[in-house]
Amino acid sequence: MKTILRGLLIASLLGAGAISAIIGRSESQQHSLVFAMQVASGAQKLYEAGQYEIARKALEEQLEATPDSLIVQRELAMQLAATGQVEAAVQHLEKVLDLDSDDAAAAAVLGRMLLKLGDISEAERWQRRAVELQPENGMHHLALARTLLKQQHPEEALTSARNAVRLAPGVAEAHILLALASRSVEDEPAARAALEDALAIDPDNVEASNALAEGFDLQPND
Amino acid sequence: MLLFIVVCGVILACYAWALIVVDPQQPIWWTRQVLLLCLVVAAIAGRSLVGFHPVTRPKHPIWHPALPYFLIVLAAILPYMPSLRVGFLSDDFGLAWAAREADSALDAMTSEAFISFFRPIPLLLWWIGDRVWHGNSLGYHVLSLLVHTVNSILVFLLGRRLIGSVLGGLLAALVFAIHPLHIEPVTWLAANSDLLCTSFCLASLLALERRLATNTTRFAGILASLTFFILALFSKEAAFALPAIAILRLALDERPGIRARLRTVGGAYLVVLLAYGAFRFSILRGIGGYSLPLSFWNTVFPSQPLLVIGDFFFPIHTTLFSHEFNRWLQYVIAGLMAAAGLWWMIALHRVPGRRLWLWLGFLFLASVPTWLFRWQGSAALEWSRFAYLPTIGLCWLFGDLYAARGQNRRGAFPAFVILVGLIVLTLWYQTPWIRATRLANETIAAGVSLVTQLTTSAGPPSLYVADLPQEIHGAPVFANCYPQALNLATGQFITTQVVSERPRAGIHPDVMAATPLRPGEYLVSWDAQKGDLRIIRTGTSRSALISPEEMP
Repeated sequence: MKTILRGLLIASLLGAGAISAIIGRSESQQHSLVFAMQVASGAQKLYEAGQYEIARKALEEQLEATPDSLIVQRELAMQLAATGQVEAAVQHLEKVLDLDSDDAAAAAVLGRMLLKLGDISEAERWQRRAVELQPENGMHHLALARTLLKQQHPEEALTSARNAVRLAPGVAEAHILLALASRSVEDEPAARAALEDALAIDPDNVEASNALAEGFDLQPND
Repeated sequence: MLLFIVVCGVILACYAWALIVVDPQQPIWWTRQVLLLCLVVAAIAGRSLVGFHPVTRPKHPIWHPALPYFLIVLAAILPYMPSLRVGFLSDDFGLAWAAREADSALDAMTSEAFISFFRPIPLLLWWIGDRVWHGNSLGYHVLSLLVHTVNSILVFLLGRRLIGSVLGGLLAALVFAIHPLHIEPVTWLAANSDLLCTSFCLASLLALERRLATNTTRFAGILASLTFFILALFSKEAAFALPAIAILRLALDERPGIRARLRTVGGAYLVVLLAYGAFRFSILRGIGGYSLPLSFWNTVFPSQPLLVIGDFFFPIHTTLFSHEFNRWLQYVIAGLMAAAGLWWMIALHRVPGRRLWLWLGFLFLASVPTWLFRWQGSAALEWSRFAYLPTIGLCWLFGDLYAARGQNRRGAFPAFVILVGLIVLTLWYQTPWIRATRLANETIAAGVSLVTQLTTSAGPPSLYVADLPQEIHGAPVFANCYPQALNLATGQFITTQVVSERPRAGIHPDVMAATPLRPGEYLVSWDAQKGDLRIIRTGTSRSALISPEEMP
């Protein structure tokens, strides 16, 4: 009996050793990824709870430990962009896109941030990249159309705005941009129809109702 | 003995390490359960190998008979004072609204608020609370604290009898009262069913103990036990493990004539259980409860009781720890907890084997009702309420170990350190619940403001609400009960639907995207940055479809 009990003791020790070896092996392979995921997920929850500074600090500390962690880099970039820290957001978004050049959302946000900084040509480049990666997302076309209008490329802007309206018919802003693009190619009836569509979706849209009342005095927003 | 200490020490150290590095999302999440199984096997084998070495127990000085009660009341109430600041959260809103809508007590008890469950007694208390203190959350919190205090006293009374030591029973009750694993049932009002079920289960066992002590054989002797058992079943279905616990208790008693009553007592409990099962089936038209997929880890392998053991010895709230401490400090704290665990293990040979089986059996049997639940929670996280009843077995083990070895100051010091450490953790772990309350109040205030703003002569608006905060560090905020929260706050019925990707929590965003809004309907989203609800879509006569990716 004593031998069996000793055997059980040794077996449980060996079992614990084997399990620890499995954890250790997995840990060395996934340590950075898993812990980074924990931090990114925790930071997201902190952000949602309105604790932006604590979330940012946690992400920055984790980035010091694992500078190549895409998930942490991305979360930090998105939080910086959402809190209006444009220059810092641009820096981190560029790193995100270095690590994963197929991240359409990051490309779109980078385009938006660059537009805020006034770098229109770079903004256009990233917005085109977002459209290329996610051609079915109407919001990417919408952002590109806005930039193209700013760059005085009415024909291209019109194509993008039409794509935006086709893919996101429920977004009033897409119709307003179509109106702007139509007006820039001097197609007044199309512009009026697009504004009426925008008002049908959002009857309280001040921009569209003023434009209709005051003869299309519209300027593209940032 | 040395081999036993070394093996248990190594396994505890491995578990402490695994607790910090293994995330429940990892493919190797099951390793924690297996390590705990190794620990239990080692403890049983080692204890059997070492044998029982009783010590003469000196009479511990208890200055006054009322002193234990005084200490227990303090321990059960003072660490939970912050919980009085916690308001309604998540399911609380649903229960409070159902109580308000009920026309009578009977109507409240058969409320359809949570149709999968049959818990008339907690629902009755919600109704009484609505009528007596007008649904104020403070009133319910005072009630929960009172029930928790009563439970702690019952743990003392039963522990004193089962352990045979006043000090052992007192220590068990103190650990039960302050353990951070019990924050959820004490702090979250919707979990009052766990508190009540535990009260009645313990009262039933205490009545049984008293009858065994008087050595009566009449059936009337166990009538009180059965009455409390019925009340426990009507509080929460988790009480169905009680007959097995009572049978185990009788089977492990060496006194002459006790085991002879096994058939009578066990039979009476089982008859009540069968009658309850038939009644429940007729009410719910089925078994009720959560519908869960069966799998090896939540059906065959005893994950639930093993994780209760793990969280009892290592009450680490991983999310809070990872935000507040660096990894090395987490290792230090987990190491201290492992040392405390080893202190327990070393004393196992001072406790008689039958009692050890009783404590372990209580833990495993009380876990059976939630055994089928895929429980991966840890201290203060959602689901830790399921550990409230099973942990009593471990609390009695703590008291028994202390009574066996705590005869001098050297023995008293570790117990004192453990108790102080548990109080600190219990106070700290309540902070997410207070934050969750603040966030819930902000979200409700924004909803009320929006409803006021959008109300027209045609009536209040209909809202689809997306991106609601779900939880903060394990403390629930809303789940699917935001509509009832808005109803309670506005005092009227507002047609509200939650938009959420979580199953059973509302309309899925994909379905919402394909849902045209009619005039008077609004899709709104919680903007965490601004702390306000913003309108995403307004209902018009024409359908407006947006895919979730396109939502600004």
